[in-house]
Amino acid sequence: MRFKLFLIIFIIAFSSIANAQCKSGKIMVKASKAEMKPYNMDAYVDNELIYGKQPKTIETPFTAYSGESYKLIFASDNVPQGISIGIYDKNKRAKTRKELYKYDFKVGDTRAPVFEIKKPGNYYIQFDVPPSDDEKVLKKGCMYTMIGFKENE
Amino acid sequence: MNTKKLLLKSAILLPLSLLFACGSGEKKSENDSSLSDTTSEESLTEDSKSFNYILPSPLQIASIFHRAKLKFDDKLLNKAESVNKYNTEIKLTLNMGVYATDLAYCLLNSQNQLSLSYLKTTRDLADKIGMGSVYNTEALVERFQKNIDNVDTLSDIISTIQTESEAFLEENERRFTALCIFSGAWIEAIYMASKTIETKFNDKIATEISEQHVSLRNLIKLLEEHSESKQPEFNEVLTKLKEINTMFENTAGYKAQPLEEGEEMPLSFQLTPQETNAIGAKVTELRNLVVN
Repeated sequence: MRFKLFLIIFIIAFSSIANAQCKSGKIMVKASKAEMKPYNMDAYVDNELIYGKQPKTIETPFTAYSGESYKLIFASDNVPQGISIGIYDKNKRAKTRKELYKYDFKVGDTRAPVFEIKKPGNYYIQFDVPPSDDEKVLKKGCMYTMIGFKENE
Repeated sequence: MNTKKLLLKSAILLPLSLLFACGSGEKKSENDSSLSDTTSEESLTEDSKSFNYILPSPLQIASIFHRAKLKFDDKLLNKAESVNKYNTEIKLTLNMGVYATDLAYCLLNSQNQLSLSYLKTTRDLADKIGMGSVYNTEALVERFQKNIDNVDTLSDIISTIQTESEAFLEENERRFTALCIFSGAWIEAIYMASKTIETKFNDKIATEISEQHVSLRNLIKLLEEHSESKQPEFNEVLTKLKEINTMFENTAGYKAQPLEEGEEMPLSFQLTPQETNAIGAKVTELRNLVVN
């Protein structure tokens, strides 16, 4: 019985440490509701940012369906180093793709300018995470993305 | 040393060694850890979600079909009282998605009392799968009841519940639960849309069904990354989802659609009445497996 209790305590403790960076999702959703208007808050995703020895790219596709418009909100409460946010019309493997949105999210920023999509298609959100600026330290942060939709008039 | 003792020793030593490893050396901020251990960096650099895709909510899917003039038919709903039949984690989460679509379908068709009934059903299911706090923290059901005649407020409450549920599941690392819920929601939406045009074909609704193929294909990719999807109870669902995906990909419209460089699949394509009915029949088969 004690053994089971011990195990449970450790599992709980370590599961929270393992993904401690993205723990403000509900707060971010609430904080973005007013800004999302007149769009309906629809989707949420968080991305853990890890600044290691090498730069990294995180690509997240999403689909804009016909007859609808979309608003994207990017927010964070703990970016230890700047990252670049981009939105493209094609994935990163495509030789020719159009950059539709670009923002350099800096330390201390809590929001990026919103982005609206009015044309149906597949879109690709890209986070470019630079290497850690301290070669001895691996840094971590979190970026929250909220997407809203509304029907086209 | 017997296995139990070995396990006990490992269970104590491993976390303790990790604790001491984290606690030694210079003081770092909450967001930092040592880069000198390349193994730990390698394990951390790969996002646990190696394939990402943002899935639409049940409300959005229902809204797409509503705009395409999908007529309301209460016989298409999964009866709220069926909720007591479900007692495994997989059935509970899949039907959470089914009922979320039913709720959105009722709401968009101004069936507000019925919406309330489905909202209570999803709350009961949320309690059973450990998500009750999403509904209870702001007394959302009570707010819904008070605003029963205000469709905008009701839609706002539902979209809040859906987005906060996603955030709750992400925060608690229950990505597979979120995918199960979406699977149920997708199945119910395509079931409703295909049933509605089974006898009287509607080209617009058929095109909207084809647009949902992109969600299905990405859902399958996401599910395959989770070992839980291989458990027998869910594997049957996944197998049928893959069969439906193949049916979409074998349609003449899908094959004929030219792809631009960097595009993996067309966003929408033409579906014939026969193709729509065949896909609809397969979805109905899967839906029966989920709700019965």
